[in-house]
Amino acid sequence: MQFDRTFYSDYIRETVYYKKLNSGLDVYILPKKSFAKKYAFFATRYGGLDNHFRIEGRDDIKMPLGIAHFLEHQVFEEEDESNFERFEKIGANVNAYTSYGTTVYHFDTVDAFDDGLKYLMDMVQNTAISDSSVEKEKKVIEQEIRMYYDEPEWLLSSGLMKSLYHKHPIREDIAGSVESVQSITREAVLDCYRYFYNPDNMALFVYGDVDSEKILEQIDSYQTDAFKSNRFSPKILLPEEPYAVAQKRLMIERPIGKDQMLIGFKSKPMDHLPDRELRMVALRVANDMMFGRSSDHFDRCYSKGLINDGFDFELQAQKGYAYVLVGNETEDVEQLYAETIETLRRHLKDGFDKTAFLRMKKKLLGRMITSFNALQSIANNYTYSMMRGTDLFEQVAAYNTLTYEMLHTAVRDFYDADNHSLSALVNKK
Amino acid sequence: MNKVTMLAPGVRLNIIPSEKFKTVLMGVYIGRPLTEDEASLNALLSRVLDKATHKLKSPRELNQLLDDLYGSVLVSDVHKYGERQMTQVKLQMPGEDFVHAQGLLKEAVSLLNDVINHPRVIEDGFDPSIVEQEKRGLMAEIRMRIDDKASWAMGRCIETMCADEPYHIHELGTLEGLEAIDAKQLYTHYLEWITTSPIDVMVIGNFDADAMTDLFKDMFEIQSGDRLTIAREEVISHPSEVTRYSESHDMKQGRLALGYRMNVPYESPQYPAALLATVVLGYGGSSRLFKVVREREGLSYSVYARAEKFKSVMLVYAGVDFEKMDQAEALIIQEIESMKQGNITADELDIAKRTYISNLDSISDYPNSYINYLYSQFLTQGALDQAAYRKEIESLDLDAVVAAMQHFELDTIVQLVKEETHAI
Repeated sequence: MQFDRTFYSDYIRETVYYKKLNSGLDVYILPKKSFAKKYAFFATRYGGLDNHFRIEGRDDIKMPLGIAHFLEHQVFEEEDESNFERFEKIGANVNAYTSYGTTVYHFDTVDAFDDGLKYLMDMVQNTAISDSSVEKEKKVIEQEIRMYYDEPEWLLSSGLMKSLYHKHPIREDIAGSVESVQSITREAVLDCYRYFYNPDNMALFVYGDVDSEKILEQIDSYQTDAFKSNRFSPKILLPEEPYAVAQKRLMIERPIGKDQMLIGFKSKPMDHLPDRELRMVALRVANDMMFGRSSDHFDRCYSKGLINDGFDFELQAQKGYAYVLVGNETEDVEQLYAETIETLRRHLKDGFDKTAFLRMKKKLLGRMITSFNALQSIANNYTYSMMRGTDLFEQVAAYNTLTYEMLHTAVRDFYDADNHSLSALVNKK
Repeated sequence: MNKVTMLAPGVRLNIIPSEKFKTVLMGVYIGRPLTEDEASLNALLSRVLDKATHKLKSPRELNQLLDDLYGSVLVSDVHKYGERQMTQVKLQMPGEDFVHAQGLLKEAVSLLNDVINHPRVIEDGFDPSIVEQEKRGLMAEIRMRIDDKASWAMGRCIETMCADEPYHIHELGTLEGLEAIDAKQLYTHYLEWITTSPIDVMVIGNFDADAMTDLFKDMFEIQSGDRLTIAREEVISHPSEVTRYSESHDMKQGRLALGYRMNVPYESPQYPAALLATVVLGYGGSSRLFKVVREREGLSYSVYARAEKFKSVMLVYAGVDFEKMDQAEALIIQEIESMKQGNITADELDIAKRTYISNLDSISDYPNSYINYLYSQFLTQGALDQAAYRKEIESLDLDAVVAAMQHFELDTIVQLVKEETHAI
């Protein structure tokens, strides 16, 4: 069997081999010598956001919140022994995670790759979901959700998402709520499994010291007939989301060691823009220039004691949403809030410093290369980015093509200094 | 091959060439005995050092240089290794040829040297404004420890269990200790610290070992002085009864921590078996606790056991519903007792061995974990013959594990429970 194409990055000096199997399943293999561990990821484009969808010829379907994550737990269920144990018996570790847009099952091993790959594909393509396994899982997931309720960061970000968005499902938690999880049934879980766990909607990634051609043959042969013939293609339905934030500020009182704040800047979705990749890179550079360690803002706020090394910012832009978060623990929520908004306004008005721009391009290019250091981080980052429909190799190149002018365009298109929301966690006296 | 050079008595350079990586990672490990007197000083020192040097007068200048070094990362922090308080200063940079920048490595080593040997000094003290900022930051960090309930529960367990031993001291120091430190006093401590502490330098990346050794010999300065030998911890303890400690918090889930004395020092031939016992009990998805407490009883999402090598203590942690704390506690104790009586299946033992060996085999895939691992070996038995150790683990049988577990004694149980709200 031949690969359809290869991807190579001159900066990263890695090659990825790609093939779309006859079934429709995408396969990506990154062979890498000298690392002891090998990794495989089996992923579906189905996550916490995808609760409302349409199957051709049927009524629109609405599922309880948290069902993709619930299904992830259930895929681990086997009748005779646990999958954790099955993998560990051969010297492999298996795990999974659910994000907003994907569910990913993965394992790693030093010397049991062939068996592990078979187990992984076997586990995802066959499940033993029963009424009793569903009931037992509800108890475990309830403990998981209650654990989040005690995490200040979770309270803060989950509160902010509800302030930023009126309707978009990004405002809900991936795991759902204690109540929504209680309403999940075996039938609903099985339906979601059928609709979203099929070759057209999935991809398989392999990283490590492997024979790529042999592995490709194996992957092809490990697909079950039921899997290959599953042809659902659900269309995700997203509500019409207003442009403005839902709520300007949210103050949560908790007994905590130090107050915390998070500002969200809401923007128009970017997923349909052809130069989205370049815009994302431009925004990352701009954010680092405004708020990063070497920025005027960081220096000023740090010396005033308003922030610490944890001061952070991130850009998220996916299906129907785009926002930037900025925040930290602080001794003065109001002052840090005012300083942050002022920093943004000043940059929107006066533009960016050219020397700082060149320095920041160097920094982020270096960081990008560093993120391809350990094979484990390559595996995680590459899988995550491909499943979101972005190509990491292209992103690296974009750090080089980005110009000073493009930076300004991307920033002015993205930011509206008035369209933001503040969320804060303040100590209950 | 790894190359070890003594740069001075008590100062070792360990060069680890590896073609796998796109980065060079340099770590400087500076050890002190863990004491009440010094804990706050060492913690604050670690935060002050990476903020400015004699050439780079502010954190901003230092951060701009790091950006120019293609996003190099500089981290300085304190860690607890048994009853040692260890400052680790680490610098990670992309390999020169990946970013096509010659001279990058030299600049990075020079920066690392300046951070450790040439801090910013004003009139016989550190920069007072930096000291004040870092003091405030560290104090806030100490106050925030309570926000992470899992680590708070385990911390409380250690503090209670080892109340009369240095091990109870937290590596970040105390609020009172920090409050009392000024810029001059901290600098006086620094002069003692830089001349009397044992130092290990570990460097890993794709480079020539001899060239890297020469670069460090040339550029990394060693202050002369007699370097301390840090005493081995007391690790044997037989509690006459189990100590209980309970605290109430405003939270949604109860937290349980059980502290065991393993009573098997790492020098003992039984140590590998004792460690393996903790893996069988509480490491990973097929461990006893995960299978019984989470999968069978659905009592907990997060439940695990971990061993501390230097102090030979084992902590068991579980996040549990408030109403089921006693049930979970009894179940955990019962499972450990049952293992002590020999109730460990061949599968369980086999899985634990595989897990342990696979971790051993792959640790060199992660640069930071690898240098930390090699460093911790230097501290204990010196460089280890990896293949022989692997064989030793493979040969452990049920009897060995059960025999090692006979030394385990439950010392302390901590419960974090729900705060009762009273109407006023």
